[in-house]
Amino acid sequence: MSNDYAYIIVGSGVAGSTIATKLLEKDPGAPILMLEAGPQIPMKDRRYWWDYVVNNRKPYDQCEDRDGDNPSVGMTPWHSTGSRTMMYGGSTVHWGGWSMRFKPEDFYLKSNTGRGGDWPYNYDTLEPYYCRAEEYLSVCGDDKDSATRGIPASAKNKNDPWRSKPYPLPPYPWTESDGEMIEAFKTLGITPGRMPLARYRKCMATGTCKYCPFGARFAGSYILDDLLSEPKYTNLTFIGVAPVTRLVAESKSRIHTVEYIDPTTGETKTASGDRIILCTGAYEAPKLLMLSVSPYWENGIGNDYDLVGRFAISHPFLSVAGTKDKNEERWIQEFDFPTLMSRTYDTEEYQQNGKIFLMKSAMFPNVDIAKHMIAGKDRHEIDRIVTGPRQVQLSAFMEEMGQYDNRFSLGEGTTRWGLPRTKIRFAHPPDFRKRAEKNLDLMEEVIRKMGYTVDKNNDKVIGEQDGHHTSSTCRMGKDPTEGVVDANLKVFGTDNLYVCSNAVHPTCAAVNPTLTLVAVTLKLTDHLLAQKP
Amino acid sequence: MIGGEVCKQQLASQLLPAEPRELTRAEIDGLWRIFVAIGTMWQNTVHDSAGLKSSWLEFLTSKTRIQPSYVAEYVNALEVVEELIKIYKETEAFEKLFLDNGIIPADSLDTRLAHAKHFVVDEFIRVQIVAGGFKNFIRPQQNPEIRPDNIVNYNGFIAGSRFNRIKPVRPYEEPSK
Repeated sequence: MSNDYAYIIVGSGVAGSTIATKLLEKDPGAPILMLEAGPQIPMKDRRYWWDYVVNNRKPYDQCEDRDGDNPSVGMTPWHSTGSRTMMYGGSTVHWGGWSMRFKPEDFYLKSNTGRGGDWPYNYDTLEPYYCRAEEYLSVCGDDKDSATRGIPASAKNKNDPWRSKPYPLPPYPWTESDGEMIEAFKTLGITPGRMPLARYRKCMATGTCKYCPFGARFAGSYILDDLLSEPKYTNLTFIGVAPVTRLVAESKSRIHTVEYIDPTTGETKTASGDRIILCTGAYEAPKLLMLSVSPYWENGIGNDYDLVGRFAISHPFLSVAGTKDKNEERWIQEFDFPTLMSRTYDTEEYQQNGKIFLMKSAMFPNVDIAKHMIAGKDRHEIDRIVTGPRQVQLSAFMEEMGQYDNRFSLGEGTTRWGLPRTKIRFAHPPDFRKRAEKNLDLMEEVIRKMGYTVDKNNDKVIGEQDGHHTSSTCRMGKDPTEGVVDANLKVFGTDNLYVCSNAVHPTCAAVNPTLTLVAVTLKLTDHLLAQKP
Repeated sequence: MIGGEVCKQQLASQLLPAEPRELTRAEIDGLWRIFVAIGTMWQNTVHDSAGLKSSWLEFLTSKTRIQPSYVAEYVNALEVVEELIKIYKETEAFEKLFLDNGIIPADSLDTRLAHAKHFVVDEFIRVQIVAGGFKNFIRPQQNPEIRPDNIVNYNGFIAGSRFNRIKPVRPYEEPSK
């Protein structure tokens, strides 16, 4: 049976847009169909930018999940609103651009701790792809922070794992208000590091990164704009507001067709492809596999071992705040992102407890001067506020370890995008709180060393579980009893169906997963190009 | 609530509907007077508002040339301010509008005065901040002069490329050993 397309890519976020880019770079005439459930929102639009600046209204707020889209039914409530954007370009549109690599021990979580999963390959396999991913995303970082190959980062007080190429761009500076935390870190034997950030050279530090007026941070939408305006790519087709509702199997191993809703008629349409790649994020990929029931796959594609949707993880967010009586230096947070971080407690030694990635919060110290002016406070009152009590906060992502019972599955009904609701069953393990509190104690030490007062009842917080870094719901494994996809991201038991999103990561380390996703995506594109007949 | 009949006239709370159009010179001058008065009220003396005019004009253009158009809100604000100045004289009129307007609760937008405050004055205040003014709020009073290495970055403030000679923030300096 002949196919309409060589590749069908479902989802247009960082994974989907990157795969299309790399395939088309190699073969500009490749017939590719991209399907995206969400709408297109204009980027770099001055009116939208001013509205965001003066009213704090992001132009893509409408693309975020709403209450009820993803019912949380487990012991630990899971919050999805604000975690992702359903739109042209995907969630990179609201991404912060923090671009840390996973560390070597993150590929052996289960072997090292007995919990979560192991990757089917190691850090050294992914390292060259990390270098390419950093170039692709334009990551700004500090080479001095990287370990030497063969020596763990912690042995030499380095924050980052070894690297074979320098960062593409130099790091952002620490700010004056970072200084007191840097000094406290050093006193406590914590290594201060510069946050690796994806920013192009045109960044003008407006602090409005959630909607940049210049497009100074990678977003899938910019990549798509380039692809769709390139005259050479005549066989690239993009259809937006077209949710994919089912995959159709021609045989057990061949997934031939996708069914999607036509945005112009509202009717179900089909398209067939030689290879189908699901770049639909960790929420949608497992549901689409579960929906695709057939005589060949009675429990949904790739789900013969009932692993689809399981092992869901994200990052528990920890924070410790502190207060001083005066802000004589009149410090405010001048970047809209943290530039100070540390990975001292993000090492193999802390893996059993749940590693943490420390960052100085970009929310403090801060005074919203305009808000006080709008409230009718005069110059002298605002001066008193600016020089009054000062707050600082140390935040951390804590590593979560995948558990079999934590699962994303099909909820009842559909969302406004025409996609099924997500039923989220999640519970922290019984020892989670104790481990998190141990980490909070480490963080409190820093704030106290800085001379700030910590209110134990209010300032030490284990945040509500949210879905920002959701991973592992179609994880990689060595065989189908361990995972849903193999090391090349191909769904076990199929010849031509791939999943490419955070869903395939068997672990989520203690850092943001986007850089790792891009590295994994570039590895997949090499595989696809090598497979091409 | 301050003002007279114009200020107290009832309106629906949502943005007043209007077609996009170019503002007249007189309208722009009248709105600029409000913007400058904000700078004067909060003693924006380090950066004179004149230095912010290009940013403010770009903001104004983007708000009036495309939908949702703010043209009707701007016309309303001009009439509200005209009435306030008639009643209180200019300095006191702006002081009352900015600091003591009697709009209670603040988020109630059911009068022409409340519309002028919310859709025009409050947004102009944000523009004053992001366009680069009011740095002296967070620069030590004893050292208020502007220097390239004494810059302060608000959200929205466009400081220039970070590869420029001018640093976009006050950077941390390692203590000398």
